[in-house]
Amino acid sequence: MRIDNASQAAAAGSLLHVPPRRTAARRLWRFLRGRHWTFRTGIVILVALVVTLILAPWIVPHDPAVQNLIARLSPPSAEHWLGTDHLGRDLLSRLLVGGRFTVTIAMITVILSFAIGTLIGVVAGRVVGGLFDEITMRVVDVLISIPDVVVAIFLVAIFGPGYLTLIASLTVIGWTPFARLARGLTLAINSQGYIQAAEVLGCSRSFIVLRHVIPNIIRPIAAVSFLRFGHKLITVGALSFLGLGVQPPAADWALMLADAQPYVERLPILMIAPGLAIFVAALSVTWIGHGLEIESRDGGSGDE
Amino acid sequence: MNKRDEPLLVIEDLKVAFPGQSAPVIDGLSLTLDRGEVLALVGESGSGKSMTALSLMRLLPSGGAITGGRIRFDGEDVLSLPDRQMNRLRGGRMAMLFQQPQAMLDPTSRVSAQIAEPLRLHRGLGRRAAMGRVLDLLRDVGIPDPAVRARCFSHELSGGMAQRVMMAAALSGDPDMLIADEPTTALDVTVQAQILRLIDEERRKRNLATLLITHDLAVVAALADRVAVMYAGRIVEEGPAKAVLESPQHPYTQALMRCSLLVPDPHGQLLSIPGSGTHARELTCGCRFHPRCSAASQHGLVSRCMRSEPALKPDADGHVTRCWAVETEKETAA
Repeated sequence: MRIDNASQAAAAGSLLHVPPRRTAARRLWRFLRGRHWTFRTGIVILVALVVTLILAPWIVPHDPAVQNLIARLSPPSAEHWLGTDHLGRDLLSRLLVGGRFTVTIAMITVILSFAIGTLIGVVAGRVVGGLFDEITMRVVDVLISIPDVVVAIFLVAIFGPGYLTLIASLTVIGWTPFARLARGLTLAINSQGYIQAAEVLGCSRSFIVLRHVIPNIIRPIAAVSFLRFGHKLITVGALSFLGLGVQPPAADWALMLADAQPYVERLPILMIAPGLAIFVAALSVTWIGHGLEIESRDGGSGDE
Repeated sequence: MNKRDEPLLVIEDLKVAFPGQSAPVIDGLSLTLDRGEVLALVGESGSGKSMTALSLMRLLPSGGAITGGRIRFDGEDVLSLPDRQMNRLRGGRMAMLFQQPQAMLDPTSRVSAQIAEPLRLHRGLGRRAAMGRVLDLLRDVGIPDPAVRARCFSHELSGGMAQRVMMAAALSGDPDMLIADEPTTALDVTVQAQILRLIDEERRKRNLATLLITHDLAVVAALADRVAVMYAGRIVEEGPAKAVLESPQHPYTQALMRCSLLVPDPHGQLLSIPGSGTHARELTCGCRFHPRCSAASQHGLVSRCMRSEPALKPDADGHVTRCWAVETEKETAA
């Protein structure tokens, strides 16, 4: 019996490799290395962008709101690196400050939509066929067909422009794609063995949702949330362009685009600079989402 | 509440049905299982073995429902327990092993976390205390280097190792009954014996009532005290393992024995039972096995087997059989 046990243990041991312990930093490094290049590039751009926007009030060369009508529409110079706009305000300073509103709104909206949508979708998917599932999914069907810009215009007309109005109007519609996706993924997970195993071990429903369902569906949802982030950036920009977002004299990329319209031929940089800023911001999050999605499609093999 | 003279688990006339299917999946099944005893449930795929196990846990796949009968576990009526108490029973007093151990482990959480779940849910242990118990359990189920293994994810384990982890999780709630649903079917032959030995060791150590579901008669011969043979949702033969394996009465059991490699065919051929059992449940009258049965024609009983279904008839030492041929044979002998 003794020999038996020893040989059994040896046989069992030789069947597998023992993975070495890894520190959190090493695991992060491995995770990043396993991603598609778009993910890494996107992360670098986004981090640079967010840091710039956070530090913007302290690093701007000029006050972005101060007008200098004598020096209006001046081309790039040593004093004004990107030139000045039609009211003589420093373009670079306005560019550095101008993304704060849009990015903040988009970020909060996506996080709220992600949390609300995932939770509702998972619960609907776990009680599939039930009344809650039926009702929420029909609500999603209706809401998803309404463009969020229309809701935003409607709410801004009632409550006036501002952070809260915009976040609320974008979230009211924004959670629906997340709920639909989360429900679909949960349905696929429901039939997995480990859910059955958890039930057999006597885990409660909420425990199974929090510990087994959500961790297994979070990756694809995270990928989609980055894609939605890019979409929200552009939506918020569109609202500002229409005059429903940031109010002058505060700087905003989309508002700068709108203001630059009459002067495109005289000073194209007035339009190119904020346009590029919006483009790069939206591109970075889309790339992150894309990179995550590629990896999560083949089961996250790039992860350890 | 506790009836001391009653076996730990008593199933009486259990019926399970799925809506949209004309015939019940389990039709009038009665079984008992006592502490320390190993009862093997044998039968081909679709005979209702796994559904029996899931009924005990009240975890039938969605749509399935228990339409009749009673299940008593340690004197408690399982079918009428409220959900909260049922959850305490699952994992706390009844545990289960599955066919695909790797699929049963959550790919996103560590081995230790999954074994710790029942400890924290049913034993109310804190994180620290639970981790200590996890290492003990991993050692108990024969996992080398438990401290390293505890930090693994499921894809870092082999099949046999994963089944040992499942065993540790099953044992962590300190159950009275273990249901093993084809625990070795998906494993290498060399690993199968190790897992079976592990189940047997733990059964002895903890006096576990063990319901062993399998279609492998070699596994039955190695472990079981009693055997129940299922066909098309009902029991066709039941008795002490030795008696059933050495002198199978029911033509279906005999055919199973011939098909298994335990008893080599003198002509060196691989045998099978002609036909399939998938539609046997839908037969409205007669013995469910009669379309595939060789004994029916041999004994000139075809019309009787087609018309009415035989009952489970006992012989001297608690060996029961559901077959007209066996019954008439006994009558003529007496």
